[in-house]
Amino acid sequence: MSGLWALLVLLAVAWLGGLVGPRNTSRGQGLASGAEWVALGFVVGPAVLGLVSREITGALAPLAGAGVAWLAAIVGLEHGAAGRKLAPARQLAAVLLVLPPFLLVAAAVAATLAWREGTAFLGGRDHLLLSLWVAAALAATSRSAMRWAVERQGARGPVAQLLGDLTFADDLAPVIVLSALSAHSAVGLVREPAGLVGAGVASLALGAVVGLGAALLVRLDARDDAIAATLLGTTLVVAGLATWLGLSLIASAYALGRTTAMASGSRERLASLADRLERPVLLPTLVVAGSLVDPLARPGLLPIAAAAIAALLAGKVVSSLALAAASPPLRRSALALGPALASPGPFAMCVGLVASLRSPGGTGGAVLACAAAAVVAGELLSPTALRRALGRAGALEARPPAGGAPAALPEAGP
Amino acid sequence: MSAGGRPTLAKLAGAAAGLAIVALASAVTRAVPGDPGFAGSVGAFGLLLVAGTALASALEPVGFPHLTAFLVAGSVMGPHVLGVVGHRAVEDLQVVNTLALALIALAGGAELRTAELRGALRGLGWATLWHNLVGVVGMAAVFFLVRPIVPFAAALPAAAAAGVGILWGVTAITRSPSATLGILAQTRARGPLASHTLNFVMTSDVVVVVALALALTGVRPLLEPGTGLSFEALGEMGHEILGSVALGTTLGLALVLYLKLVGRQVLLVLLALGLVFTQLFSWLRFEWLLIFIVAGFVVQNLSRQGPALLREVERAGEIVYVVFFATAGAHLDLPLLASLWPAALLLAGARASLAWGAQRISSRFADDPPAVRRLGFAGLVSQAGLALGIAAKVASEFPSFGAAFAALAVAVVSVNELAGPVLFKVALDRSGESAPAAEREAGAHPAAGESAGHRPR
Repeated sequence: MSGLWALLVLLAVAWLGGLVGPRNTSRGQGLASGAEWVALGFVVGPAVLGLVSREITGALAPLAGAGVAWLAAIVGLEHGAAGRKLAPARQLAAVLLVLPPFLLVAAAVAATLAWREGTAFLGGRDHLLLSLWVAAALAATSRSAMRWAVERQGARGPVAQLLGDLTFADDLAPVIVLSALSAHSAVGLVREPAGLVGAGVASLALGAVVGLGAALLVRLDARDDAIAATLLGTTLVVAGLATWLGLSLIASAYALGRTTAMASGSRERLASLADRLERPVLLPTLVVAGSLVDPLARPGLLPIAAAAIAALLAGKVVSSLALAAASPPLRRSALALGPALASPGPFAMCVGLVASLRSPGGTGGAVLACAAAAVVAGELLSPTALRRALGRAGALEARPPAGGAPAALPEAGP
Repeated sequence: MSAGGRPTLAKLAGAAAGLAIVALASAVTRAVPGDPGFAGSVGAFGLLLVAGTALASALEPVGFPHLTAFLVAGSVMGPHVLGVVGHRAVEDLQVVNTLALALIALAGGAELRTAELRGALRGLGWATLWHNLVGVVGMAAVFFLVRPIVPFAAALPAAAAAGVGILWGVTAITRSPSATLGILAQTRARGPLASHTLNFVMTSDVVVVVALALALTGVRPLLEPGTGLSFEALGEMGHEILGSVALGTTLGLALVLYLKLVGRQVLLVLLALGLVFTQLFSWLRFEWLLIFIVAGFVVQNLSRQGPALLREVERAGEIVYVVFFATAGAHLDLPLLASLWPAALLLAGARASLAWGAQRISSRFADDPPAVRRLGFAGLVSQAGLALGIAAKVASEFPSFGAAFAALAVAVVSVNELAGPVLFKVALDRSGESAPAAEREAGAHPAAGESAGHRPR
């Protein structure tokens, strides 16, 4: 019966997750990053109270993996902005702004590993992989951060719009990294004919091919029921195939969502349909991810996580300065904007969870633990800093609006 | 989508896309050795959804029932044809299948309205009497007569063959609530035929459980000479039915309270009921299908929450039906059907003929409307899980011939499962009760606060 109880617990969490959102807005209560759900999973999990055993978390982990695929597909569907196309310049800016935190986090983790283990910088494949996985997990900003600022603090205007757009488009770079990282785990069937580079893009290619099929299927039958079945079906197909072929689950599902949105001609409708099922999937996934966090997954994890978080902050400050240089209204708030954008959110936990599923303990466990630490730290720093930054940029109204987000701002997600 | 409104090219492209995805998955399945584990089951679930939806949409313009398309897609993808969905995945998906059936049962109960039942009580009473009487006696006789071509029954003594025939008759009177609801959801049919079929199929479950208990008690002395009549099965049946009705009523009242006081996240509550409580009820040896039907009935008729419940169940919409029927298709034992087809076809044909005859008799007594009189049998041909459940019960009670009995049941149910939905849909179309395509399309996009539920009159 333990599996059934675990499932019941998971559904109860999903139920709670759905209840905490008010009726008239798509988001609302709780923390932007979902850190409280991660913490809940961690506390009840085997590492702390042990109310949920390792056997149960192990049984639930694959289900959470399927949840990650669905969430990644939603991120792809909503890339840029739900229901509208983002200007290419802004998309490029989003990708470029992720690079400083990505590079700094990777370097900091690699340096800490070298220091702790007395090896050369990037001394071995394990160090390289761990550095890149952690960097990919942490580099993007939670898409919920700006949504929360809009709903709770009344953020408005072009600055709020710009930051909202950027947080909705900056997942692309980490996704590409994840796809490339999967080259080393791809099965021979993929790696031998395609080579390392080919295997590196295979995850994205798989998602794009199935996504094209999904788009045609959406055009074939545009009933809501049929679209929902197609989206869910193709996401699960991609999740199954990616796992089977040793490819990146997140990159494939993301590419599926993005291709479907672009090729179906129904971007807004698809995003709206997928969004309905986002939060009930997201929260149980976060709880399971939290329960799998093991602070002892690797010796010296604490300094690694601390270095990663410090590098993330530094990287976001660099990005903010670059952004402020290009956008005059942000100049007065450039320094506060760094920590404001240092909230990795659910995407980081999804990456950590997949890493942990692929390589339990060791590297995977370390990625998940770093992601959890960064999510909690980001939640402590980011909301206050964001409020300050938006206030200095003149993007905050005196009182929060009653009716939720303006139509132009994208829906939030992981 | 309007069925005929889309350019043919888009339909062809969509169908080709579905095929391409299946081909890709098939290629990976063959090329990568080893057991994919959970990933295989996840992928299989997705493939059944994609293939079922694509085939149903592609065949919609020619009037092909969605359910049959889901079944065909599932059987083609299943272990006996392409093998993209393997045996392990089919077994893993039983959990999802149970969930789907629980939701279907809940919706089925909620579609039964006392006001309509009262009006149809006479017809329903006669139909229940004649269909079950003619079904059990007639099919027992047919089985007895055709036993020379039934491998396991050919050598049985006459008394034992009669006993097996009675068990076969009970298996034959099972119907398929899921197929009935699935076809009604697709056609959004309204009228006496739709209403009669729905009422009859939903209430027949109880009759079947009683008939099985009586048959198990009565035929044992015929099949196992030397054993006397034992009323243990009747006691178990009483416990099972009364307990299930009580639990169903409690569950229904709890759902009413939840819908009234909370009213949010209903789908998740239904998921918990379907995934977890079905297991719990089975473990307690109650008939969970009956529990869910009763719960739905209670919500509909003892409160004002019926439309809300139906709306929530229908939010899962097509996914529920695709999963249930595509998995059933993947489960179809085609090699077995190939080896038993003469007997299976004969028995399935006899069953349909007897249903036709019973309908004519009962309609004469009840003075049914012409549509019910002529076509009322068509919705009663489909069979699914309940028949297989009874066959499994027989197999466990009578191990000497039970496995072969169950195999024949699987073969006959396969025929009925494939042919039944087609017959019912044709009947609804011919009677003029199927909603026009435009109305069906409108039903797929219900306005806020409006139930998209099927409303047979």
